[in-house]
Amino acid sequence: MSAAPNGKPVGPTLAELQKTLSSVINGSASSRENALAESWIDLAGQTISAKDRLDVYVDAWFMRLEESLAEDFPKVRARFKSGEWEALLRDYFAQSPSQSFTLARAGDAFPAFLSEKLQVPKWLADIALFEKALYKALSARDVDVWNVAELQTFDEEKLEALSFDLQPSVTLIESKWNVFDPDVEFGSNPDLIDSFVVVYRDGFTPTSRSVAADEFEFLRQIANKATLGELAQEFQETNWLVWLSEAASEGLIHPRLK
Amino acid sequence: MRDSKQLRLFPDLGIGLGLRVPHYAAIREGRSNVHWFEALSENYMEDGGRPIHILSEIRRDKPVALHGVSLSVASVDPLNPEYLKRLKTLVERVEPALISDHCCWTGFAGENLHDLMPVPFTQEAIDHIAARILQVQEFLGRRILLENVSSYVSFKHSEMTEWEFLKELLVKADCGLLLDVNNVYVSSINHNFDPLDYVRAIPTERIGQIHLAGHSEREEGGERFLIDTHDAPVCDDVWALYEETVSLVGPVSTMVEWDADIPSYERLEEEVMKAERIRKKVAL
Ligand SMILES: [Fe+2]
Repeated sequence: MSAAPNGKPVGPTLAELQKTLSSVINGSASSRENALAESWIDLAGQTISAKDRLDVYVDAWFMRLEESLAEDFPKVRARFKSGEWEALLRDYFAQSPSQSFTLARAGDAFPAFLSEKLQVPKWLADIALFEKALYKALSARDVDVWNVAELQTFDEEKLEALSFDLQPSVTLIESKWNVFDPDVEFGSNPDLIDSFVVVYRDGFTPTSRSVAADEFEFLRQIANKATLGELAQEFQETNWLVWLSEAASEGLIHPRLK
Repeated sequence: MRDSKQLRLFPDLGIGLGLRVPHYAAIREGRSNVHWFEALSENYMEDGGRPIHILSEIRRDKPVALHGVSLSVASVDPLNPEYLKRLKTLVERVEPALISDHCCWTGFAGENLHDLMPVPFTQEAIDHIAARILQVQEFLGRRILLENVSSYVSFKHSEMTEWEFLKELLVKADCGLLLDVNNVYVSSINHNFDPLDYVRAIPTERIGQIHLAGHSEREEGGERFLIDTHDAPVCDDVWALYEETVSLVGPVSTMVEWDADIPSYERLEEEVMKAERIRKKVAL
């Protein structure tokens, strides 16, 4: 660091300082950048080193993100030993740095990250999707439960053309493994059984319900804006009217009224 | 002490507590004796869910201050319009008595480090931060408070002390200071300055709120090094500094932050009642 005419060292600009310190904190800094950041630190006549001072931020950065993800993905977390989990998260945050104003969104790309990891079993990414759906439901936009009895006031033409939106708290997830059943304990691997679940919010509490393949397909078509006429035709052999009224009373769907 | 006729930029709300999830029950059951609550803005900026309902319910009975951690007012990144929009929506919904964030940057190039990063005390930083505070205040239509952060590094190229920096910044940005007395103390130990020099230098009318908190301590080569952990009672030195501050500034909205190893609600109130006793003692 050279000196300005007033004797003060000429330091980095705000932009240089923030760029370099960010990379020191998130662990992406080169050794040259680490040394540069340390050279900017005023030790104030004390023994504690510049590196130890910077490490307060470095350690807090990882701890905060790790705590947040461990809380949001408890079942995924439980599958890893501490060292493996830490390595996995360092990898994840290098690839998907947190960009949200809230820590609650730091894990949004985690299920997709897991699904691309060759060393991670595919079903674990399905569990991550499920856990993400639960925390998404927690803070999704509030909506009123729609009363299915309202349908009785519609004429036939309007009924035929009616389609629905899934409520903002709802996520539909399928897996080739029985990973959604809360009662199934799996020490090593889950069983290879096609499973379907709908995650939603009951009042303010996130919850989920396992559904059969045909009901799942029904809900998926609702999400794809199928009309009531189309649904009635495609699912005529099934209990679709019961599914529809259950979905309404659980607050899963809302009619798209013009 | 501050003359009671002196211009006040911010209301004195009395003593308050940081609103945290474990306290919801005690507050909703009417077991609360504090005058106001401080809510962490980001926790209530989601699209929906339980927290904002509870905050609105609490707000019906008591004043609320909104305290943010992600404004990143010192960052060289552009201000985040989505964040500001959500903050404004929250402000309109809650009608807070005070709005604050920190004098820090929290990220760079779109990344959020989720930490309160210190700034160098330079003219460049004053100009940069002041311009952005003015922008935020214009957008929200009201004056905000900036909080001094605890820091573990300071920079060789700083051109002034932290208090000289804040003094100029507050006037230039026409904003208030949320004086965190514990942060002053923590930084004074970590950077070897006299905390009294700090509190005596701040223009009193700019101090709109006070934070108190506990910290943790470690030893480095026989010297103390403090970390702002909010996991312990307020220490005696910080109480003494608070008393000195109140005697200079007069009664200012004061609250205790306790975010880890959170004790019972009753224990927390016991802690903040010490602030009430000091406020009363100094007022005599
Ligand atoms: Fe604080």
